Amino acid sequence: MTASTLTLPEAHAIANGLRNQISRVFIGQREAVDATLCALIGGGHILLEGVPGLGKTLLVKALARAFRGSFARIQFTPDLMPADVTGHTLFDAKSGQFTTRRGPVFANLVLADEINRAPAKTQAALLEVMQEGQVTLDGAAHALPPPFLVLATQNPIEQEGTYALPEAQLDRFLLKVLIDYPTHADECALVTWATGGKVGDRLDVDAVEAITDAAQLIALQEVAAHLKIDPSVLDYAVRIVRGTRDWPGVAVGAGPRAAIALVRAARARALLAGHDYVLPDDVKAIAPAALRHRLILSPEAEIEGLGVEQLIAALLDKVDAPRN
Amino acid sequence: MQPDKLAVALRPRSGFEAIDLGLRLAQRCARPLFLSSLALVMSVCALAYLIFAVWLDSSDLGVLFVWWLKPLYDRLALHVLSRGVFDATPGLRETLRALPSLVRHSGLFAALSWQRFDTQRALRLPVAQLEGLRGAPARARRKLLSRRVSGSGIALLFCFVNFEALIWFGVPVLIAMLIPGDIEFAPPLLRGLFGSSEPARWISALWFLSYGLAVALVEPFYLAGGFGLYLKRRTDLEAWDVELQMRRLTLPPASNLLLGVVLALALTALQPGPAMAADEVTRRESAARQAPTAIKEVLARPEFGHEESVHRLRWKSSNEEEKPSAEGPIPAWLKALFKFWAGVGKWIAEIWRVFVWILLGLFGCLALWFITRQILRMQAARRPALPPAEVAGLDIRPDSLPDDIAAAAQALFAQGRAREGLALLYRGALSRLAHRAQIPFARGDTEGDCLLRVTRAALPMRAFFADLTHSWQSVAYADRQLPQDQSARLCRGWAEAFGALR
Repeated sequence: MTASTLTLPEAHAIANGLRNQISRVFIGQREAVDATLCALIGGGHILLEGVPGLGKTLLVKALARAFRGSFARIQFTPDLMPADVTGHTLFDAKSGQFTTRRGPVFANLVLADEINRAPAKTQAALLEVMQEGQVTLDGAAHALPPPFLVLATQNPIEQEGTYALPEAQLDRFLLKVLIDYPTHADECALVTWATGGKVGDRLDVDAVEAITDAAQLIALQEVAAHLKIDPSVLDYAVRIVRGTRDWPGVAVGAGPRAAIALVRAARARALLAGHDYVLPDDVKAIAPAALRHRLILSPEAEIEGLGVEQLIAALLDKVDAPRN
Repeated sequence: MQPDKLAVALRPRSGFEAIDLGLRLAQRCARPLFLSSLALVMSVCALAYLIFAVWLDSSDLGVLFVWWLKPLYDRLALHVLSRGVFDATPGLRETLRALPSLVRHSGLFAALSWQRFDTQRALRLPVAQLEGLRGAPARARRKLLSRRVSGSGIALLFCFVNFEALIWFGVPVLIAMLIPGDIEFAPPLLRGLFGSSEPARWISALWFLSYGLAVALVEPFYLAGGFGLYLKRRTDLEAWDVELQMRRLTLPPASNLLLGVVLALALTALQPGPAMAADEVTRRESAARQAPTAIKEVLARPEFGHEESVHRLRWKSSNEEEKPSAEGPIPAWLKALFKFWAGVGKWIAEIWRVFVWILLGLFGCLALWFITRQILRMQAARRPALPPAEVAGLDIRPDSLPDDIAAAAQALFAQGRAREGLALLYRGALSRLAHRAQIPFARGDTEGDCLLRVTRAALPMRAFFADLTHSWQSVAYADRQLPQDQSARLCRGWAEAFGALR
């Protein structure tokens, strides 16, 4: 098995292995793990929303360890500057030259914690990096090491002193995943694992084994990108996205980028499921995560107490499955 | 009517005191009152359960039926109370025996139709049942009785409606509290009551039982309160209390009577002669002079009541307005102007009256329309939804499919049209599942959703359907060729799995 050429069973085995390794420490969040892997395999970025203490940092650390990737965490605060994210140049008095100091984004996995706490300028700097895959410092472009995945988190309950991400920037995230509390049994298993012979609350991912490397991960992304998708399934994805534009209760629907994201994520999901073609079920299953951050509700829907999730569920019920 | 035989003390009472009197009376006649009420209401409940919940499968209509027959239960309760008030409370058997006569002769049809929403039913029922009035006299009588106590009557209804609801919902909650936690009682009950599907039999039965208990226990008290108000109004209108006092005064004790007879005989024996006539005249004149003072002294005694000053606000009458003021008579033109504006005011008031009546009528129609729509919606929600014509883009109507699907698919496979053959098998499976096994497929269901629904229904053909689905997906979305042996196996499997579902 070489990095450049992976067969589908090999790619599926790697994806499944990553899932199993992460699940050893990140317990009871199967959906969040799958969505993260979909974003990673699909070459996109992910926005995680959930209350504090659900293990978002642990997820990123475990994933980085599983493929021997580099990991960086940026805590977004109101005084965080763009240069603190991307890096900067400074004059070295000893050598008499300007040297470049790279920011934390130069890693395979970047956890942007509480991204909505930083002002728009800093958010824009990160989002530009996410889009371009490179950083420009003093006119010189520096490519980021592939694979590059940003996991940005938002806290849904504390909105005081935050800067909401603009819709155009939200659109750059491939998926938005909601992390909820684990079930009782999962939480028991989690507490047992986290307290068994461990001192302090340092995140320990020693249980995760490195099963692949960055080169194989890039090959994995290639396999996913070439998975067969029937025109009727593609049409189904596009019809779902187009359906959001004139759906009652939606003021602004999803754009073409949403359809692209939906198909990319569906391909990644098909790979995770182990088949070499994309099913309508893959599209339907990943659609809420791909669409929920791209829709703006109308004031009437908000007054009626309707949520984005309900609207997307209703839309998916009404959009006809592919015709063959 | 013989007020002197009443077993209750008659005196002026406020509306709420009168209700208290009625409730006390109900306690006194409790045994026949509640036993007869329980017997009648629970019989009606059992009948309604069998007809509506078991036969027609609509328990809500059954509860409505039990509620609608409340005037019938009231008649039985009033029969007991009207005899209990004369201290002649009938027994249970006697009470139940009176039921046919009460049904025939107490205006039950009117009470169950256009008078069903009367808010002062308990107060007005004695007019039809005890006084036997019908038509216009009954209307006039009901109007007269309701005057001054209508507020108490409506308040009585409001209170007892709430009591009834409390017991109705309270009984299932009480049972839920007494049942151990590991037995699932409350969730299926709530799902049955508020869910979209028709509740299970035991939930319907519990629902009927608790409602029947609530009606049987609360309705006699409500009726007794209304009967207390009726007694108060009769006492006020016909001065029963004064009449009783007068009767007592006109019937002196026996000793006084004897003394009077003796005195009369003595006076006859000692009759004075004509010589004493002049003294008699003087004495009479003196007595006449002292009479006003003596009368005042007598009237000042406590037996003749006492003076009481009551201050209240009242509308100025039109006569007072027309009184000439101290500054002089009102000019004729001003009077004409007042009269004109008074006429305009009356005209505007009449228009408003008509407008409000129209508004009330419209509101009533709207409420009726809304209730009907809600009932139809609820019934529609409970009915199993019709299967869609298409699922996942495939026509699943039975008439669009051949009679022998497996054979038709086999023929298509033999002609090399494997994709069409497999589509026919999959389409046929969906059609049988939707129309025969009542699997609720939706238009937007993908193949995975269909498989999930079949899995949840735990049907025996689930394994074959999963195999068929995967085969169909690989042919439809991956353009794979179906192996020859697999097509034959699928045709055989289809006939085995779905052949019986015709």
